[in-house]
This record gives sequence, C-alpha cells and structure tokens, in this order.
Amino acid sequence: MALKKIMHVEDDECIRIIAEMALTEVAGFEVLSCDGGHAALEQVEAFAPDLILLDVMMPKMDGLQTLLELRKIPSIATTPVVFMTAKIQQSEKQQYLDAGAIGVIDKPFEPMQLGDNLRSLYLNAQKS
Amino acid sequence: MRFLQRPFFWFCGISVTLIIVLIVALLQVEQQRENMFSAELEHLQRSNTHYLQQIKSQVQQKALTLAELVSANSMIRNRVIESAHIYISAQSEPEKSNQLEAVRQAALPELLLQWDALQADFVKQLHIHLAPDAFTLLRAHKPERHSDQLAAVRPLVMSVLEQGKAFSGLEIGRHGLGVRAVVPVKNNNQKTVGAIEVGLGIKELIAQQQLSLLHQNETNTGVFALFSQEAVTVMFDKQPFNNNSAWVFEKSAEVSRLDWLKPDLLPNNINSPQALRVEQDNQHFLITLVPWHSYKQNTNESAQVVFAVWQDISDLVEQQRRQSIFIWSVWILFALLSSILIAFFARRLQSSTVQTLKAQQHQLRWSEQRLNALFSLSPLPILLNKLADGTFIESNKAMEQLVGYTEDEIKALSYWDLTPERYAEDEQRQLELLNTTGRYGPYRKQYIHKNGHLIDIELNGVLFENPAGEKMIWTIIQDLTQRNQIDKMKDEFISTVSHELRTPLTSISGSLSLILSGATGELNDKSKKMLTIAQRNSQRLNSLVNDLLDIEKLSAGKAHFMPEEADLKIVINEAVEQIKPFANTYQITIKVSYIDAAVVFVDVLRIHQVLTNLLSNAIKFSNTGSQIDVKAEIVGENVCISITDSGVGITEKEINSLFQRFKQLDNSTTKQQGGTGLGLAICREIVHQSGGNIGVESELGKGSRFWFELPLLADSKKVITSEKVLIIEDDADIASTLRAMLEHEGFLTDWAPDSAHAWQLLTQNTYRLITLDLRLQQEHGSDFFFRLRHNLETQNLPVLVISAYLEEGKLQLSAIANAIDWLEKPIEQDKLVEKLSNLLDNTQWQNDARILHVEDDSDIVEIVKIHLQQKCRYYHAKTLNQAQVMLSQYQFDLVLLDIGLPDGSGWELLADLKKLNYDIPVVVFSAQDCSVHQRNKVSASFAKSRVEPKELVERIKNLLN
Repeated sequence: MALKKIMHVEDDECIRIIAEMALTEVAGFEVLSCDGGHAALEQVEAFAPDLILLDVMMPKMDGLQTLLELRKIPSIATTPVVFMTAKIQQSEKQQYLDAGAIGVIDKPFEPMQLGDNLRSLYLNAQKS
Repeated sequence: MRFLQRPFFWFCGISVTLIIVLIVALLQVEQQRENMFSAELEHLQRSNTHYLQQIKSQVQQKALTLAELVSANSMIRNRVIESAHIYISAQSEPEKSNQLEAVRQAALPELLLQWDALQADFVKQLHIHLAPDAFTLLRAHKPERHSDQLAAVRPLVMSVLEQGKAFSGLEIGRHGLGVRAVVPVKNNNQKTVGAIEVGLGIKELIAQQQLSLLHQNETNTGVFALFSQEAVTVMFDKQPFNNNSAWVFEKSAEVSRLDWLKPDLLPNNINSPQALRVEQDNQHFLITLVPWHSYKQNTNESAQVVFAVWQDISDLVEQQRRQSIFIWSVWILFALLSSILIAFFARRLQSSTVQTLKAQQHQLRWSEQRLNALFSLSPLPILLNKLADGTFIESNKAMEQLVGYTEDEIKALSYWDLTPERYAEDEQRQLELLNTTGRYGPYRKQYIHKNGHLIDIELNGVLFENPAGEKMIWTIIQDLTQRNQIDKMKDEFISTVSHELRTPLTSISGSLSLILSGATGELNDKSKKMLTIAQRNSQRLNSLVNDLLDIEKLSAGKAHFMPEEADLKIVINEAVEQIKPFANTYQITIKVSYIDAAVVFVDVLRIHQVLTNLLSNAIKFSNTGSQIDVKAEIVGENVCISITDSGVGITEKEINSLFQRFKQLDNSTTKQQGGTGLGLAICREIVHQSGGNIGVESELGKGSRFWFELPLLADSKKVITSEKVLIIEDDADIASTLRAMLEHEGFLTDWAPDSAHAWQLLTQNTYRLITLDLRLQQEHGSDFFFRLRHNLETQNLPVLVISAYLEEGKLQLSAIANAIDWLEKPIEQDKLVEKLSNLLDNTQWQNDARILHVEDDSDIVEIVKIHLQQKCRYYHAKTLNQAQVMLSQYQFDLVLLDIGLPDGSGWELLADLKKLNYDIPVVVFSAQDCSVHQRNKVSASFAKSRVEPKELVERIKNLLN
C-alpha cells in the first residue's frame, strides 16, 4: 500500500508549518498537523493516517507517551511511526527504534528530502 | 644474622683480635729476650770454662818446664848420675851413706841456687829422686830431710823412674794439693837413674790468677777451688769439718764475697765442665766449674778437685729485668690506650646508633602523625579490612558519615554486610584482580547505608601484608551520589540545549530550504543570493551545535565508542570517497598514494569522522587545482595515517594551539571557509580515546602534514609478512628488482628463471603467491598458467602476471582467470603493493566456506551474490521454510539473514539453528534496525539502507576467518 496520508505531531508551530509545506507541496502527501499528543489522539482515528511523524520532546505528553497511547487504539496499533528528534545521541535513537518506530529523523531536517525519506522508511517497513 | 650488619659488632671483633695479636707478639718478644739472655750466659760459661782449662794446661806445662830446667843443669845432672851409681853399687850401707852424703853436700849449693831461682814461680817442692825405688837424695826446700824410700807412697815418681817419661799433673797428699812435674834423669846409656821433681802450690796459683783479674779491674769475678771430702781427708789426714757437705772450698784471701756460697748449693759429682746460677741476697752469680783430675799421692787413685770461676751477673740480670719491665710497661700502656680508644669509639658508635635510632623513631612518629591526620581528616572514606573474611579493622570519619554507622559498629561488620548480594560475581572478579595484580578498582558498586538505602560508590584498593603475614586491603572510597547527580543534570542540560537550539534552527533552515527550492514561488536573483547566505549560516550554526555537543561528550569521556576490528584501508578509502565531491568543487585531487596493510581496533565511524575532518580541512586550506596526499605507514606497533596538503601552511605559534577548542587560523582563507573551530579538538579527543596520537608538521606557505597514529591490532602486521612468493622471470635484472621490492614488503622470495625450475620449486615449497612473466624462454607463461590451474595443488594459488604485454595475456587467460591480477612493466612499487594486497585480500577467503543467504528481495540477492560467489560457496533461500529445509540437509559456515520474510520473521531461524545444534555466525542484513537485545543474539547486524556491500562482505570474511 502506497504512502498517502501522514499525521504530523509537533508542538512547535513554525516546524509544523514548514513540515506541512514540505510534505504537501513538495512531496504531495495529505497531511494532518497536530500541536500535541492529545490533539493527535483525538483526531487520529478520524484521519486514519498511513504513517505518523511524531516529535519526541513535547510538553504535556512527549512522543514516546503519545506512541504508547496511539498503540492502544486498535485501528492505529500497527500504523508505522517515525520519530523526529533534536537529540542526536545514538543511544536515544536506539531507544525509539526499540519502542517500535520504523525510523528516526534528525532535526534540523532537510524539507526537500523529508518526503522521500519517509517514503523509503515506509516501504522498508512494509517489506519487513 | 642482623648483628653482623652492626658496626659495633665489627668494632669489638677487630679490637679483640688486635689484643690477641699484641699478646702473642709480646710473648714472642719476651721469649726472644730470654733466649738471648741464656745465650749470653752460655757464652760467658764457655769462655770461663776455656779460661779455667787454659790455666790448668799452663800450670802443668810450667811445672814441667821448670823441672826440665833443673834437670838440664849439668852439675845437678852429674851429681844425680853419680849418686845413683853410688846408690846401686856401694858395697856397704855405711860406705853408701857416706859417699851419698858427700855427693849431697856437693850438689846442695847448686840445688839451692836453683831453688831460689824457682821461688818467683811459686815452687814449693824441689826433689831429687834416685832409681829404682825413689830414694830421696835431696829436698831443696828441706835439705835436712832425705834418704827415705818413696816407692810405696809416690806411685807417680815410680812410674817416671820405671818408664823414663816426664809427667806433669795434680797430686794430692798430706802436704796438700799441688801440681807436680817429674822429669827423668838419664845416664849416658839412656837409662833412667833418677828424677827431678818440681811442685807448685795451687793456693798461690789461684791467688795469682785472682790478682791478675784484679789487675784487669775485674772485681766482679774470682777464681776458687773445690775439694771433695775425700781429697780433704787425704790432704789433711783428717775427717772433713762438715759431714753433710760434699765439698770444701779453697778460696783466695781476696775473695770474701763468696762467703754466702754454701757447699750444699753444689752438685755432689762434677765430672764435666758445668755452670751454676745462684741468687743470694738479691745478687746473681754465675759459677763455672771445671773438674781437674788429681792423683792421690800414695795410691795413684783420683780424687775430685774442681776449679771454679764465679761471676757476679747481677748487673746483667738487672738489665734483663729492666728490659722485661720496660716491654711489659709498654705493652700494658698500649693495651690501656687501646682499651680506652676502643671504649671511646664504642661509646661514640653506640651513641651515634642511639641518635640514629632516635632520629628514625622521630621520623617514624612524624610520618605516622602525618598519615594519621591524612587518614582521619580525609574527606574520602578509607577502610582497612582483612582479605580472608572481609572484617573491617579500621575506618575513618568520612566512612562513618558515608554508611551511617559509628566506628565501633563498622568494626563489628564485614565487607559483605555492606554489599548487596547481586555484587557477588563482580566482587569475585575484583578479588581475582587484587590477588593477581595487588590492586583493584576503579570498581563501581553500591553500599547499603545503615538506614537501608543504597549509596553509589567507586572503590580503589591495594593489597598488602601486615607484619604477622596476614593479608589486608586498604580501600579508598568515593561517594558518587553527588557526581551522578551532576552528570545527570549535565546530560539533561545538554539534551535540553540541543533541543532548544535545534528547534528554531529547524524552522530557519527548513523555511530557507523551501523558499530556495522554489516551493513558495519564484525568487529574484538578489533574494536568492541573500537567502543562500542565510541558509549557509544556518547550516553552520547547526554544525556548531553538533560539534559542541560532540566535544562535550568526548571530553567528559561519555561518548560511546564501539570499537571493532577494521581494515584501515577500507576506512580510509571510504572517507576519501565521501569527501571527493567536496574536493571536486575546488578541483582538488585526493591521492591515496600508499597504504600499509593494517588492522586496527577502533570505532570505525569515529575514525571516519577524524579522516573526513582532516581531509575537509586540507581541502579548505589548499589552493584550487592542487593535490592532497594520503598515506598509511606502519611505524613500530602503530600505524601512522598522514594527510599532506600543499596549502597555506601554519605558523609555529599557531601549531601549538591548533588542537584547542575554538582555535582557527587567523587568516582570510579560514574566514572564507568557515568552520566551528572545534573540528581538530574533536579529532584529538577521538584519536586519544582510540589509544592513539595526533599531530601536525607545517611550513607557512608550503603546506601541512596532519597525521594521527593508531595502535595496530596484535598480529595484524603479519597479514602479508613471512610469506613466500615465487618469482618466475627470465630476466635476472628484473627478477632482482622484483625481489628487492617484495622483500621490502616483508615477503620471502624464491626466483625461478624458467618454468622447469618453477615446477621444481613448487613441488618443494609452499608459496603464498606467484609472480609470472608471460614471455619465458622455454614455455610460454600462459601455458605454464594453464598447468598451474589444472594442478590440484596450485589451482587456487594467486598469480600476479607481470608483463609488458598484458593485453595479449589477458586475452589468453581470461577463460580461467581466477585468483589472478595484472601488473604492467615497468613495475612501480605502489602498484605492486596494491595488486598484491588485492590478490591476497581476495584469496584470504576460505573458498570452500558455505554461506546461506536468506532473502526474498531478488535485487538484493543479485548484489550480494556478485560480491560473494567468487569468494565462497554461495547458497540462497527465498523463504523461512526453504532456509529451514536447507539447514537441516546441508552444513553451512555462516547465515546471512533477512528479518522480514514472506512466511515469517528471520528471528525464528535462530531457534531452528539452536535446535539443530548449529553454532555458526549469523549476520542480520535487513531493512529494519535491530534492538540492542536482538543484536546481542547474532554476530553482526546491518541495515540495508546504511551499509555498503563491501563492508558487509568484509565483515563476513572476518567472521569466517
């Protein structure tokens, strides 16, 4: 199944705008941006994304917690999740992969390649 | 034997030895002195004996001479002959008497004349005797007494009358003791008809000798005679005065000093010359005795008469005594002095020993005070416990504060009371370390506080023995609670800062990127230019954040290093490949000119980071169109990687601070190039933490050479050393050059000028590689190559064809060209090395190793197959089920495993391998990243998107080897 719908969860508004632009106008996905974990949990079932792009450090509910909550929703239990983080430490990246993410994207990211990267991660995950 | 080391002992020993030697020497001197004294006395005695014997013979001779003088008087002689005739021929007695009287009267005046003349010589008797019966014709000293026949009482005279021979000797008789000389008077017929007798008084003789001694001023000496009782009886016709006494003295009047000499001091018999030492009233005398044979007048028997010389030797003895006293005094003085000196030195020695001891004790006390203060005031907890059972012996205040127990409570505890159970295994390891190396730590663990909570600590300790031989451990403890808290805070700070910095950066760079890409509409050139500057600087800012976090982690030792065995050549080549596009923008070429084969144990990504950093620096500071040279050379136990540029260079001043943080070269080039100023500091940290060293040599305007050294993995140098290469080459000069080149690379070489020799050598030796010239004399190189490949022994032997006609050879040999490479003449060392290591690298594979690749993606299968099939036996399974079947039927040496398979997860295969008792390396090659837990289950894991096939192949090779 091809990647079409992406849910982007990010507390920073600027990044939300840039990512949305990159994913819609550059990569051509359908994107739903949420400003936090709670908003994401509320809208995820209705939007039914093919992939969720999740920021790690967010107030109230961080990326890992959001992932745990998302996995509790049956229809989202297997939806691939990619984390986006400003932390560059390898051990932390590993922590996210262990939590079930299919990939981790470093901040700052290259908006022109963001879509391609997500597509490639998604395809790999599909094969596996 | 510690006392042997004490100087006092040696001092006493030497002193005692000295005294013993002195005593022996003293005794020796005394003995010698005694001997000399005895010799002196003996000499004195001998000369006295000689003196006495001389007197004796002189006196006898004198008496004889006097008698002969008288007998020589013709008148007296004629009267003797006449009267002798009358005496034997007279007819009657009265006639005889008358006639004799007449002769007597006639002879008397002459005889008296003689007598008077003889008085000066102490003559006491002058007789005329007639033969045959010693009839006394006339006595000059008593003319009125005559006509007595002495045949019976004068055996001496009778013997002269009978034998006609003169005689002189000592005779003893009623008249006393005298020396008598009897001379025969013979008639014309030589018949002894009478005799003249002369007697000398011995008393007078002695007096005379004494007198002569006195004349010579010899007042301490004298002469005397001794008579035996028997002689006295004869002489005086009476019993001796004292019956107890064997001797009677005949002493001269002058000698009154011998009053003390009692006869009982003398021996009873004196048959030969002898000497006697007598002490009387503190006076010492030497008496020399010489016996003189004497005849009894009537019996002709002997009676003992002894002549003696006495000498007062008191002076001599006194001198001896004084000498002895002197020697003893000197010795006693010396001994006293020595004793005093010994005592003095001994005392000094003892006092200096005592002082040293006191000083040492003082030092010891001082040292103990210092250590005690250190121990009790130390802010670090310190513990002393027994090795055997862990019992605590001593602890300081800080220790009490750490664990919450009082000192007494701690002493009642043991090591194990404070240690949580889960540390049992770690404790055992530290104990082993302690026993083998004598120390342990730094060892991080936890202690149980008195109130039950756990305290993070770090221990360092040493093992030692107390004087009783009991093993003890000193441990210094560091409370890590605070440090851990700080570390945690720091980590959180770094994490937060990186997040807070990157979030706005993400927006800025993201926006710029989108705008510049035209996603928001077309831009005019000016805007584009300005935005490009903004984008470049946002990227720079990002690099700065990354480098800052990096250096922070590295300096704190918190950077995670994952060292692995790596072929340095691959690491370098990858870094060079990666940086090439950047170099190309400046038309700069990067030449990897020389790389020694080297295996290092490093975090490959980190070393890659160092290489790209140094390379990008070199590019930044090089002139457009120039060349950068990369080398790797083995230096001792290290490999030195150097990057040389021909750029601007660095001043000496700048070199010193080059590796410090935020140090950038202060020139226009740097500013143009930009940079965070952290790159070299990061490089230094990485190299240091990889066990290496980093440095730079540079000359301003000429370029720089940055280098770093990494320790070689043990044995990695031997990869291509000590192996034999067979050179098949008909040209001896070329063969010689080749030999030198190969030997320089650490190979042993053999040379065969033609194929026949080569075959012979091949049957005798094992070679790692062959270099083959194609145009040989007898057999063409390609024919020889075919023979090699058809021979079972040599079918896989690597061959490097070295020829000036490579194309021709390649055409001929391409059909069976396994394990072959080509090198064109003339031979260049660099190329030779490169070809050799390629050939050997490829042939280090175990050609018969079986690899099972489990993979459903046919593209990936194709790529991996290309890389592996020439190196080993490659098998492929598309599904999990197929893999399970193959594993149960065939033996494999390695499994290359994809995880996402159509009929299940690759992880399931691990369980199957275990069931089949397969203990072979498994390499995961999958699109998914593995968790730490999963990675630990396999030998290696690679993500498909992130690994170069080359790296995968290299890893497989390593695992198979």
